[in-house]
Amino acid sequence: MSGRERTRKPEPLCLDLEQIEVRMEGRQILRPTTLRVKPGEFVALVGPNGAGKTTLLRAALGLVPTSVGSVRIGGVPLASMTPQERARRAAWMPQEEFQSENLSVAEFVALGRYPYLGSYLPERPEDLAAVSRAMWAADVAQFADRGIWSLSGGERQRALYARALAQEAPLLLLDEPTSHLDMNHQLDLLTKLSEFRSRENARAVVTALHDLNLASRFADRVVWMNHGQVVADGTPGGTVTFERVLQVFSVSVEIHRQGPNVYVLPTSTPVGPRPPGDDLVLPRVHVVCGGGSGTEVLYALSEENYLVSAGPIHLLDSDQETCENLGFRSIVEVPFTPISEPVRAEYRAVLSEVDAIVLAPVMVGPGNLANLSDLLPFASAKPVFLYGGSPRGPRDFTGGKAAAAYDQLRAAGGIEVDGVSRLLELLRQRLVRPVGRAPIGLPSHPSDEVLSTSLGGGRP
Amino acid sequence: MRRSKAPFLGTEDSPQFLESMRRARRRGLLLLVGALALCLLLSPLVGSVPVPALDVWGIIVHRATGGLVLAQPCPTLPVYIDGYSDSCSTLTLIVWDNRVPEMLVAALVGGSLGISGATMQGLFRNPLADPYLMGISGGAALGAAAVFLNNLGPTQTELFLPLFAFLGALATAAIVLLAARSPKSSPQTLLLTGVALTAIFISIISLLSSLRPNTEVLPLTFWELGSFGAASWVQFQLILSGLLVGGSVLLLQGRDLNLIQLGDETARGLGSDVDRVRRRLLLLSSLVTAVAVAFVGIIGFVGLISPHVVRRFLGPDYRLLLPLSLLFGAIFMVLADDLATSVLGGGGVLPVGVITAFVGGPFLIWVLYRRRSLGTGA
Repeated sequence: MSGRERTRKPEPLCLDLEQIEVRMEGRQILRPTTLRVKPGEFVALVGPNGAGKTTLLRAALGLVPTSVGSVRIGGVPLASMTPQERARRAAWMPQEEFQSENLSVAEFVALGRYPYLGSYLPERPEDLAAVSRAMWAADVAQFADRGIWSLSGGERQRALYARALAQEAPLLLLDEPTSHLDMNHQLDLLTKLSEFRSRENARAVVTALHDLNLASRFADRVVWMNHGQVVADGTPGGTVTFERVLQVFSVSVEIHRQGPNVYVLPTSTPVGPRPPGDDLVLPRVHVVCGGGSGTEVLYALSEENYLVSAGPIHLLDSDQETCENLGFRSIVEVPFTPISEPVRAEYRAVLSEVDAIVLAPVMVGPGNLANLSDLLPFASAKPVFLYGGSPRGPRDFTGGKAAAAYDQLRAAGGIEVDGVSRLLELLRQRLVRPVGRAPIGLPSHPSDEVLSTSLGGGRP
Repeated sequence: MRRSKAPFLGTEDSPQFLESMRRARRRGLLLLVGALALCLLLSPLVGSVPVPALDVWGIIVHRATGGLVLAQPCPTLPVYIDGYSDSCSTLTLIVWDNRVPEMLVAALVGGSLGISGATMQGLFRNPLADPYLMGISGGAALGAAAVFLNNLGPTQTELFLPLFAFLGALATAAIVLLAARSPKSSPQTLLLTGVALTAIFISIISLLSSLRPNTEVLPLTFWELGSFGAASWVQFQLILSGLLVGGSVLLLQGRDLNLIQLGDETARGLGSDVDRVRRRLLLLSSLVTAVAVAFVGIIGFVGLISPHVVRRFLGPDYRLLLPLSLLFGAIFMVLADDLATSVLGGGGVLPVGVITAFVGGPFLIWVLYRRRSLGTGA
């Protein structure tokens, strides 16, 4: 009754999962999860194998029973719909499918009309039209009379997509729809998916995707899943970060940003899957750089499993942009100003937390001389690598004070290093335990004792 | 023509595959209907007593039209000879009361077994499924034999036979369904379970008939190999009504069966209530099988062969596979019966199951060895 009095009805969500939980054989496959998909959204589910993406999608369709929580599709509770009604509202494209009979592709795609026809009714002209449109959209029309067994994996995946399209449901749920596709068809399918979603027609797309690049490029929203729960949810630009990829996929990556686009490049050997609760703690390395002096070191570090930070650097400094691209944290100062007190405080705090410090061959002037002198207290406590030599001659704008600070650092235990490969070698010797299933587990404030036990633990 | 307006062919510049597919199907359907008609026309000519073809057809037309079309049913007998009516009524007895009902019962039984074989292969996603191999025919036979043991009157017997056969078939179907559900089950599990069940049922039937030697239990070979020897118009009507009830609903389940071929999960995803469909299909195919088995005993392999042959030539679409398996089963059974009646000569009749086993046994072996390429694993 109260609904009638309202002047403006809120549009129903395309998909509304409220605290759903899935248990199988006593194991909790999906922890209580809430996900709301609005009309016009293109949501990508990302996460490692076994993260619960497929289970979430199947639970949304009622294909696995949910032990708690509620599911609504287009505002209607799943429990109140017959399977056929549900299939008219939400189409499902599984990743793989078992086909025990060699149906022709046309017959196969036409099964997408089952929600409208049931078993008994013959296809009407509008059903044939929908099948035809779907087959052309998925680029399988040329296979129409071929048996489904004769198709390649990618072709079969397109036929699956055509069948989902033939359902003409406003909500498309897809599980890794591009896993077998070639590059051309991957882009084609995702472009079609992004054209499919539409606010006016209340259509939305939710798809599990392995490829972070495709997810960031095409999706409006990326939902990160790990260990059966959602760990992050937001725009690709906001959620694709070095630390999250490392945390969720156990891979360190380079992240390049161009406008709204995000490009992710894996850089290192994977750390290996991690059990829930055992969060990965990587050695932390801070780089003091600026004006491009740190570029080489930063890129080199991005190839290894370190959590890297840099600074203080001025905003728009080339090293600052490198950090941005690689997804590293940087301590940023306003351009053309000396390093201010709050930034210095942040700098000192970072220095006290990291496991090793690298001083790049940076130009030193009065404005950033403190960057060097602040290192002094740590030179005896943790490895401080002096990379690229003393700031003299053209790199010195302080009349020798920089060189003096450098000499003090060396005297206090700073290690002079020549060449990036030597730097990486020393870092590995000092910081890295054997990579593999064993937890790295370095505490964030390593005492000398802890650090010394980690020394000499190179690769086996 | 409608064709140019049909959006499937017009709009997206589509190839005319649907039209050509439908044409191929119509051809297949017509071919089988024609073949069945030919069988039904020629089969009454076959028998131990030679009867002129014209007389056979004359009697059939005369009796089928109630004497309206042919006043004289036996054209080859001169009307003026004494004893015309005696000779003609003897021929009528042979043709109309023996050969025609036997042929029609054979056709119906073959059709019933053909369509239930196709249904079972579809619902279990198993190319080895067949009412005989899965023990459902055996269960029906046990139910029917139990009725014989109680020495009921002929009318009661005819009514209770299909009922108890159905109960026996249903109980067996439930066991088979449980066996198929088990996670360790493979296509062969189903087959072996069925074979074991059939062996058990046959030995129970033989045990029962030994325990009560006075009762009118049919010989074991009847149950094991089947026979159309006792076929009558009443049997025809009862089997026909069973097939009309069960078969007409089964014929509508083609799309459901097509969906099941994509796995339960996909079928559910597309809105099919798979468990319910599967129960309904098993119930109906058991019914159709049971009514047939109740009157003619266990005839093997028809349900296995028919869908395989049809699938091979006309594709796996169950909407077509179901009616065509019915037609093929009917043709196959009529021919097998003709062969069984004529092969021995001198009035000897072979149990029809001997013929079907001669064809079906090697066929089963062929399916078993070819199966690896079928890509199934349900």
